[in-house]
Amino acid sequence: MKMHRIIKSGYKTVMAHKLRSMFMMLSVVIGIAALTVVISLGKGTEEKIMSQVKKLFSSNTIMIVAGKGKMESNQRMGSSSSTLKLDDFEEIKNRVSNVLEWDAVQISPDRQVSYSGRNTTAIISGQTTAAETVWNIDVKNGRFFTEAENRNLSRVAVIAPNVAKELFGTTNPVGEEIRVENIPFQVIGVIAPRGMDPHGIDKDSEILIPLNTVLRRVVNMDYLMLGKILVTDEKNIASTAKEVEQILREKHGINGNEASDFMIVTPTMINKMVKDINRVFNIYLPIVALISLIVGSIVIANLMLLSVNERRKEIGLRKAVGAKTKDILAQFLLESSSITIGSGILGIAIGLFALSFLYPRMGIPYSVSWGTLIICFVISVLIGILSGYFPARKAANLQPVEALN
Amino acid sequence: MINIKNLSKSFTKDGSAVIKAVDNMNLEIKNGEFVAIVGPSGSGKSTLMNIIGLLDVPDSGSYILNGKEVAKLSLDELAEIRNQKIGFVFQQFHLLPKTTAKENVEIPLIYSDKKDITGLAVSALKLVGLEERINHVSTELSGGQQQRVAIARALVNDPELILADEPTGNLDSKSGLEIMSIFQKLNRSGKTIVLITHDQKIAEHANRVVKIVDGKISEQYSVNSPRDAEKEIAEIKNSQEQEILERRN
Repeated sequence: MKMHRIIKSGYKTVMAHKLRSMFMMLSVVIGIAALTVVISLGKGTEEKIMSQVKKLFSSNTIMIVAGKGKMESNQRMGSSSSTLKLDDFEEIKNRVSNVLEWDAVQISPDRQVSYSGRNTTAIISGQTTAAETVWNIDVKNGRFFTEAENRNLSRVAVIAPNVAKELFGTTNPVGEEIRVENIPFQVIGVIAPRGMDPHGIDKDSEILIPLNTVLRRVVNMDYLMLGKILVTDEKNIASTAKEVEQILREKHGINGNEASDFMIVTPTMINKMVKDINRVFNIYLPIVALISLIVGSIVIANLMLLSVNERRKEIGLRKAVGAKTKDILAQFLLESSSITIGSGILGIAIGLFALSFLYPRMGIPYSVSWGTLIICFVISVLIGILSGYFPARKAANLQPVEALN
Repeated sequence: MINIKNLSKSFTKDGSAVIKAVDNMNLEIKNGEFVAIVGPSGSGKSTLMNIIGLLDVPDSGSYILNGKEVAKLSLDELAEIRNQKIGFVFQQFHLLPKTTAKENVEIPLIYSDKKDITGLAVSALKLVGLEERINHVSTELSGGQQQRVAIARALVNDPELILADEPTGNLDSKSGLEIMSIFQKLNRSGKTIVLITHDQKIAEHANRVVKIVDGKISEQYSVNSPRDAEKEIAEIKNSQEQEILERRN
């Protein structure tokens, strides 16, 4: 009933003290704009990494990496352990019912590749015929290699787009012969672009060759760098991973508390890892922005307190002509929260503008969600109420006589 | 309307000295009266006024307003009575800065349930002869005009009791008389008026004068033929015109 009149009267005071209101707004606008930008950048970066990871590591896969190291350590290429072998995977496939398919990989980086006078470096990746399904490889031109070619150690190669571009330009590579450090290979297919993997390996500079050919003819060893398993039932992926680990430990003769000579990576672990990497965006930066908001609310509380002292006479008069304690409380709370809500909306708008301005120039991905906007809005409402409450209570409890004299 | 019995209120000054601002006072004011309270400064008349206006509470004694014992009322009830039954006029006007005459007069209505607050504010301003100054910011008005805005604000909720604390104290004598003529008109229309002043001439516009010294009523009397502010204004005008005429000759 009377509320709209109090709101109207509060609006008039805000407008009558434009400079003071502007300083109050400024402190919140900056904080909220920063918060909007930081949260959106964090979300955007996380989503981008996640989507890249998911391309290589869908939720129904288990990865087995040779060596004891952790995911984050520098076991990027070349295995540090020589114990992971092909028959490990055959045994897993035989004993674990949830295993649908598997692929095993040995990689040889930085190999010189040439075609009629042109040179480039490529990553040689030996893989089984299951690689096509297990890694979601899309052959754009030509075909993938066959089981027979793997068995016969055929010198056939499926090349990634960057290799095709470097060596062949616009001519069709399929059917041509390339040389990997003097060993001739026939190009049988070109695959679609896949981008970088989370370890920074350029999947588009790879040459895929049957695993047996790579082991015998290129690197001359019998062990693997990693393998990837596709499961039938995603829900049981954790227990499947346990089973796989058990079989490998048993087969490698590792018992008790001894560390494994391989590492098992599940999608859950990958997600957690990406989240850890993004913690700086998702936790630390928002904390910094929140601190700036706390400073902003202290500024508002101070200016409100000052305004209460300055307006003792006004408060006294309002009480003398019939304002109740709660009316004064409401007036001052409305004043502070209308300022912070206004600044919140303005801050969000400025934040969004800054993002759309920065993105084409800096290329940092961002993602704006309703959740982010609502969080920012709620924070500005809270700041208004919290920073306005104590000054408002002080104003409301003033005795009319004290306030007037 | 107002019935005060054995009322006392004291203050501590400089930490120790106790000053009895109102000392065991008895006072009755009836409906429709125009009472002037006079006394030297520090005599306790403002304290008495604040207690009558429910802005302050007494230490002891009883104050019955319209048959209700004030001490038994809650803070919200007191605020409601201040809003509905009492109109205040202060020496310093207490208008809000950067606010128009109309908005100042609307303030008591904000806290009431009345509708059409703009219409009521405008008619109150008409009553004090400020219909031409409705949208002027308070600082653009003269002292006398500001005090008339304050009177309009006191009147806007149609209270039964108007309390004026030195309303002419900051005004020149002509503006003061204009204010007094408004009060006399209001009194004739049935409002009870209590006026504080230290100016004997101003006091004689009332029907009754109560003199206070050291928190006690020292003397009170009815004024048989109160001064008529309107006539006085006319006389001033006449004498000014006379003067101008004489100078011309």
